[in-house]
Amino acid sequence: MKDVEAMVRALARVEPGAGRGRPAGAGAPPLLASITAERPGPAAAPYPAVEPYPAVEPFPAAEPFPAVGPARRAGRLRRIGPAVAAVGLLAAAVVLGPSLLPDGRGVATSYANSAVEIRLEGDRYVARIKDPFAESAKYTQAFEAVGLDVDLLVVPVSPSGAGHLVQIGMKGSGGESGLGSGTTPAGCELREPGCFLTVEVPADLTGSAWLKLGRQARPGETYQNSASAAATGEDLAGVKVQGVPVGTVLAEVQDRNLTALFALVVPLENDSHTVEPLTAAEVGDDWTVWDVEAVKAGTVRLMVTREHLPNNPLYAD
Amino acid sequence: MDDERLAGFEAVYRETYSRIADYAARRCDSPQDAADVVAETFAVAWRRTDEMPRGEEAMPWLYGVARRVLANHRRGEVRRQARSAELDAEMADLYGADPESTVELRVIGEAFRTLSEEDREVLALVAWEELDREEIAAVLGLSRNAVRIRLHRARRRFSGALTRAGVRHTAENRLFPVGRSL
Repeated sequence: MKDVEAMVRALARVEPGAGRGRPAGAGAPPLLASITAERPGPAAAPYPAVEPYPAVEPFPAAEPFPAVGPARRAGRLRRIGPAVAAVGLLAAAVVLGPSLLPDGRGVATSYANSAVEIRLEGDRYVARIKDPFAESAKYTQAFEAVGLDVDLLVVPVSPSGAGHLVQIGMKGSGGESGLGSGTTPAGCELREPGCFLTVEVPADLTGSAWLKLGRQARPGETYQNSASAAATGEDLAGVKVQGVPVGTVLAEVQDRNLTALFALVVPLENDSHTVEPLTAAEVGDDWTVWDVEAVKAGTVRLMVTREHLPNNPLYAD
Repeated sequence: MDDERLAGFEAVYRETYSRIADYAARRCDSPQDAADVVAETFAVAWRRTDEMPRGEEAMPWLYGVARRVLANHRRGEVRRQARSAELDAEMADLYGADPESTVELRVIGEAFRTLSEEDREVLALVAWEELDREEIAAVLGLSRNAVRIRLHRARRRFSGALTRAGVRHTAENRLFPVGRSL
């Protein structure tokens, strides 16, 4: 006879109390160095939250805020959560990537057009975006040429989101090592000449994938990501906004010559929330801000509640 | 100030790395996923370093961050910013043994996976991370009483799942390690 705890315990991959991860091993110190090489943000970006407010379908470009119902559920990320979970199980049955097929299907391991250049590097295809403003069909065509079914959209995002994937999806098998993004040469700043956005796609992807990749927004373009305006590089960088009275944040908004929009956060059961439209006239200075979203250059959206709540409803557990 | 912040973060990192790595390995299907979760957890902690408690409270706080990172990861959010081949390789070392190597363990594992994410997590925090109720409350952002109730229900449901699976077990048993106060 065993007790319940012992049974759960027996299922642990790493024995409880074992302390197997090694802080002084080969992996941990470089990780620490790379993390702390970035400046810490005084106010955290909206990531991570179990139910972040929409990271995927950002607020529409149109202002004023459209009359939407309570459908603005947080966390309705149309992603491939289950599919991604499932691909892990398929690892044992990985099919040869298209580049390895000697069957004369005319599949190349590299391809370039005016928009993008794709090359096989190890077990991943690396796509260097030469023209982030190209029609997405150009990218699709290039991926097709190396035997991958990948749709890529390059969308305008706030400064902290450039080079990051805004949204991804995968269907079918393969692709176990995941989609990735970044800049080339590694870690370069997109403002610098010669710095390109890149996406990486596992060569063993035999299904289809789609990605939305963030690029720097042109003046006036509404961001398609959902970053905190208080994050490093954003319009309110360095300002404490979470749990702060509206009046305090607005003072900072005015100091920086920004435009403020508002949205009402309505906590729901189950630790999620919805967001409803709100005009400036409806909001009191004593209301509480829970985060500020970067809308476009010079415009931010304050996510507020009338009452001060004990916990941040945007990031409630 | 910046030096102080860095030193404080480094101390917490060294103190907690091992347990976060183990936490991720116990919950992720692949070492690559676990490496992502570890890297992103500490990246988030660094971004939020001003909010990060020091001392004993740092560990539950980091488990809380790891838990949210893991949830995002499971939904398909991909971040590869800070991973390296070395980190992947190290995480792979934690994947040597199959935790469900026998038929009995496989049956128990299947019963465990019939539980909700919430039930599994509270049971795992007890049995795998060996946290006490107060620490779990901090990780999950709940009151101690809510943890007690959640734990009680999770045990009951796991017990039921085991019974249905034909696994014999004792229903009434301590769920906390010896010597930990409830």
